[in-house]
Amino acid sequence: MSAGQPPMVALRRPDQVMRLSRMGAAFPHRLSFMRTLLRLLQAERAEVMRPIWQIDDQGYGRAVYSVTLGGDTYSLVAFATPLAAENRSDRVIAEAWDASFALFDGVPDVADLDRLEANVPLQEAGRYSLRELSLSRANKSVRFFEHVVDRLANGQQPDAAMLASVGYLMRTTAVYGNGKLGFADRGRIEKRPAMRQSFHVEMLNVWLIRGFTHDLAEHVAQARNPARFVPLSRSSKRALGIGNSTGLGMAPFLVNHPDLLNTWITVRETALARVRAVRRASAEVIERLDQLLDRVARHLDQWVIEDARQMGRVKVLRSELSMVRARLDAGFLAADNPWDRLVETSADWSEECQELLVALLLELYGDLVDDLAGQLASDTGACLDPAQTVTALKAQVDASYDWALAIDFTDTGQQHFFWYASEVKLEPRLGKRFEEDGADRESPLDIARQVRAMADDLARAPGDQILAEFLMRHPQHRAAARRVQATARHPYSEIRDNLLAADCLPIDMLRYKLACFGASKFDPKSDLWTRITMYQGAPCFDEIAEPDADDWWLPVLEDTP
Amino acid sequence: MKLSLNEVEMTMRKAARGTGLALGLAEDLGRAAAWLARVGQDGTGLGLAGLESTQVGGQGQVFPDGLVQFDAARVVRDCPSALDFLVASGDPVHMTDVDVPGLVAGLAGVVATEHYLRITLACAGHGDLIVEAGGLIGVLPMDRVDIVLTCEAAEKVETPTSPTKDITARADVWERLSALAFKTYVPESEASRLAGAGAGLLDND
Repeated sequence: MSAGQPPMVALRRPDQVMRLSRMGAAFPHRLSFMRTLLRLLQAERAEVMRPIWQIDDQGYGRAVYSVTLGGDTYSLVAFATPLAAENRSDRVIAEAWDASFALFDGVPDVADLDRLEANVPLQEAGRYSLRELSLSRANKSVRFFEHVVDRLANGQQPDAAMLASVGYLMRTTAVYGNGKLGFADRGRIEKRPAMRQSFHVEMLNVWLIRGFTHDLAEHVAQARNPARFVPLSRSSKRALGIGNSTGLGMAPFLVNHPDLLNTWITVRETALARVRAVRRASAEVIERLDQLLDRVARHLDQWVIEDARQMGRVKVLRSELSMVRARLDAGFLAADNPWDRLVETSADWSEECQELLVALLLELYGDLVDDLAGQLASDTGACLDPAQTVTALKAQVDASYDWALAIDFTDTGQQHFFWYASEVKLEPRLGKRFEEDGADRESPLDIARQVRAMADDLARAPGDQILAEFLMRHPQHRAAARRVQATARHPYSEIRDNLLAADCLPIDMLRYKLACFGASKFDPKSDLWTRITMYQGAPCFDEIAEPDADDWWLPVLEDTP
Repeated sequence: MKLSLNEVEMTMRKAARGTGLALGLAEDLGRAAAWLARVGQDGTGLGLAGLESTQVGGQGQVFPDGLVQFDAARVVRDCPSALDFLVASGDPVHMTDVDVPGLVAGLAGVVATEHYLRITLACAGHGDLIVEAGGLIGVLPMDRVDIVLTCEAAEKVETPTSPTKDITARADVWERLSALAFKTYVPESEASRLAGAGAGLLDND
C-alpha cells in the first residue's frame, strides 16, 4: 500500500479471477464505463443541446445533439432512414440500418453534415475524417417502437410489461472507435481528462443515441396524432435504455489488448480490496446495503430471458440472494471486517452470486473507490525484454501459464474451434476445426497453444541463452514470449482458459466486456452473441445534474410507467 | 488516401500475416509502420517494400567474440532480432546488405520509445541516422546498405501519440497491403454465413 492510499487487503488471485466462467458471471459496477462517464457529466452539470432537428413526420432525416465536457464539445450526428424488413439485420454483415450515427469532435457545420450524410449511413463502406471520433448504427426494436409510438399518439404510456420485456426503442449493432475507417485515433483525444478513460467516447455516443431514440418516438407519435399525443413519462424515459446486439468481436478485443484487460481488472480488484479492508460498517452503509439488496432482488425478478442456461443461473441467484440476506444479520454486520468475511463466505455460492456481491460492495463505497476511475486508461502495449534468459522465461511460463501447459493439444477437443474473420465485412466468426474449411487462416487467439509450443522449444534451449538469441532461432515464438513477459508484470492480462476448446463459451467474454461497459440484463441468444440493455435507468439529458443521477446501478422498472 | 494510425498499424500487421510472417514479427512491423507514419515518413510504402522483398534473411550469427551480424538482412525478419541484441547487450550490431534500410528506422523508433534509447543507424556510404522516441534526425536511405546499430540511453520524454499532419498512403500501396491482409480472412460459405456468428440473418422483432 502506497502512502496516502486507503488500506486494502490482498487482491484476489489471477488464477481465480481470470477464469472464463467467472468473467462470464461479471456484473456492471460503479467503475463501469457508463457510470464513470455519467459521473463526469453530472459533475460538470453538462447540458445537452439539440441544434438541428430535421426529421420528417415519418421519423426520417437528420439531427444533431451537442454536449460540452471537459471544455470540449462533442456532437452526435444522427441519420434516420427507411429500411426494408428484409434488410434489417443485427449482424456485422448488414449493409443498411434504421439509424446511423457519428460522434463529431466539435459542432459540425453544414458542409460537415452533408459529408457525413453521404458516408455515415454507409458505415464501413464510407470514409471519415479526423473530426469523427466514433461511428455506430442501430435498428429499431420494430414491434416495440411502433407500440410506443401508437400509445403516445393515443395519449397513453407504453405498456409496462412490454417495456419491461424489451427495455429499448433501438439497439445498436456496432459502435466503432479508435481510428477505424479513417476517423480519429484515440491518441488525438486521450490527453483530454474526460476522454482519457476507456471507451468514454463510445459510451458518450451511446448515451446521446438513447436520447435521440426517445425524441424520435415522441416526434413520430406527435406527428401522427397531435391532438392526443402525450410525451414519454419520466419513468418511461428512464426505463428506456438503448439495446445492443453483441457478437464475437468483443472476444478478440480482450485477447488483443492484454494490458487494457489487466488495467480494468486491477482497478476493480483494487476497489474490492479497499472495501474488504473496511473494519466496521457504519449505520449509514448498512441502511444503504438494505436498500440495495431490495433493489437487487427486484432487478433479478425482472431479469427474465429465454436462454435456458442464463435463466437457470438467474433463478439460482435469486435463491442465493435470500441466503445472502440471511447471512448478513446484525451480528455478522456488527463484527469486524464484515465485507472481507462476506467475500470469503460467498465461496459457498455460485460465481454469479460472488461477482454480484463484488459489484454490490463497490456500490456501497463510492467515496472509497471512485478515484480509481482515473486509472482506467492504460494501454501501453507489451515491451519485450530481450536480455532475459531462457531459464527466467521458463519460470514465468511455469508461474503464469501452468494452466496452458496442462492442456493436451493432441486431444481434438482441445482444438475444436478456430476463430476467424470472414471475407464478408470481416465479421468475426467461430468455426469447427475438424468440420469446416478456413483453419489455415485462423485468427491468433490460440494463446494457450502458442505458449505451449514455445515452452516445448524453451525446454530444448540452453538455460543461459538470452531471449534475443532464442527468438533469432525461433522467431515464431516472438508474440508468445512478449505475452508471457507482460503477464508476469500484469497478472490480470490473460484469460486463463483455452479459447479453442470444445467447452469454451465465447458468451463469457462478451458478458465480461459488456459488464465493464456497464450493461445489464444480459440476454444471450446463443453461445456466440447476446443482447443487452445499456443506460436503462440512467438519467436522461435533463436529469444529468440532479443529485441522484449516479444512483442507477441494476435498474428496476416501475410497475406503472 | 488519408488514414488513421490505427489503420496503418492493423492493416500492416494483417498484411504481414498474410505473407506468412510470424505473428510477433507482424506485430512489430505494424507498429513500425505506424511509428514512421506518425513522424511523417512513408510507413506504408516502406512496410510494403519490406514484405515484398525477395531477400530470404535469417542468417543472423553470434560469433564467439560476441559480435552479432545479420548478413543479407531481410528487415521484416531480421531487424527485430538485431534490435533485441542491441537492447540486450548495448553492443553494436551489424546488418549487411539490408534490403529496406528505411524500415529499420521504424522498427528502431518503436524500440527507442519502449526502452528510452537513442539508436544510431550508421549507414555505410550514407551517414548516420539517429532515432529517438520523438522522431528521427537524418535522411532515410532508400538503397541497399550495410548498417551498424548502436545505442545509448535517452531521457524519458513524453512521446506524441498523434501525428502533426495527415497520414496518407499511395492508393496502389494501400491496395496491395489490403490484398495481402485479405489473405488472412476466410472465404464466405453458406455454412459460415449461417452458423459462424451464432446469429440469424434477420432481426425484425
